[in-house]
Amino acid sequence: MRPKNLRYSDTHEWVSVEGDVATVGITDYAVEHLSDLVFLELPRPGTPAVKGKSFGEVESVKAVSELFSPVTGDIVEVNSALADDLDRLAKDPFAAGWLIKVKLRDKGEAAALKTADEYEKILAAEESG
Amino acid sequence: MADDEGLLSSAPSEPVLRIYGWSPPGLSLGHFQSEDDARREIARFPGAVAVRRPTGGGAIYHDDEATYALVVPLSDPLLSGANVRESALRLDEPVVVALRELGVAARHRGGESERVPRRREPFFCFDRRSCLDIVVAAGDGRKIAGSAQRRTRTHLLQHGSVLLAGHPAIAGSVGVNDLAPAGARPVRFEELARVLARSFSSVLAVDFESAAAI
Repeated sequence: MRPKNLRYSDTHEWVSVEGDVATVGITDYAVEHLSDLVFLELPRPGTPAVKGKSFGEVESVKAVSELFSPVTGDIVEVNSALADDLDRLAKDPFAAGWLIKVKLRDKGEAAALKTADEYEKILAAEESG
Repeated sequence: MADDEGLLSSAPSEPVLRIYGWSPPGLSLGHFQSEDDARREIARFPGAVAVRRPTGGGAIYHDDEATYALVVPLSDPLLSGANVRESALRLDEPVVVALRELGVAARHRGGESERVPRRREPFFCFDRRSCLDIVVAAGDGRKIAGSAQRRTRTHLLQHGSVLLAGHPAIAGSVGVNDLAPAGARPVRFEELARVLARSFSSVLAVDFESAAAI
């Protein structure tokens, strides 16, 4: 079961909010689906994040995939150590594998994302489809 | 390749396939590859034009080969239940079948992909080793076709290169005509393209309507 204290998007990102700062990562499902991560490109701090828009890219052995921000605001911190240690993302996507921290424009935005139970239902539907 | 990116951005409702050759020859960089490396390497390919692919992977020298670009909606039944690796295998199975029709015993390499630190990865796609490579079934495992994807929220683009001839600067590469018996009629681009198009249609069970004669 995925962490219940997080919120989730239907493009497989997770969000954790403390005050007006959201920490964003990708779920274990996304990591598993991509498989064999080889490269990660993250933005610089200060770059805007826009809900639904790409904020970076990840390359697996076979594919370049975009990473989509589930929230809107300004990126204040980036987990730049991940680029040299993608195993950390693969092994611990919900904690050490965080990607960006965003100062939210709307503190309530994350509450509109999916709960862990709702996200599990999305995954069940994807896997049976 | 800009056309391929445009095709991906257009988000077609059904799979679309392009097969094309290069004139002049090209050196396509994988999406994240360094231009400094490209400037150094391109000197070995006089007359080649350097471009950057939207898809990942290593650099490919496009001359005596056919390139394919396949755009598929992520919701298409072709991709049902497949992760990225499985989708890549599924979508370039037609290349294996086409090569066998041309008399080449080809297969996917299989096994586990090599996890090489990025800074030590070979520059060229055909010098890299991945479980998803298409290699000659018998022999030293040289690569005869490679592929890579780019994914958006709704679609994927899979690029592939199928060689008619390897290049001496790319030791890991081998082409259809390199494997033919002495005196055999060489396979030309037009024949390879036709066999590939037919194979994509039959293996993927997609009735691609031809928009241009090959």
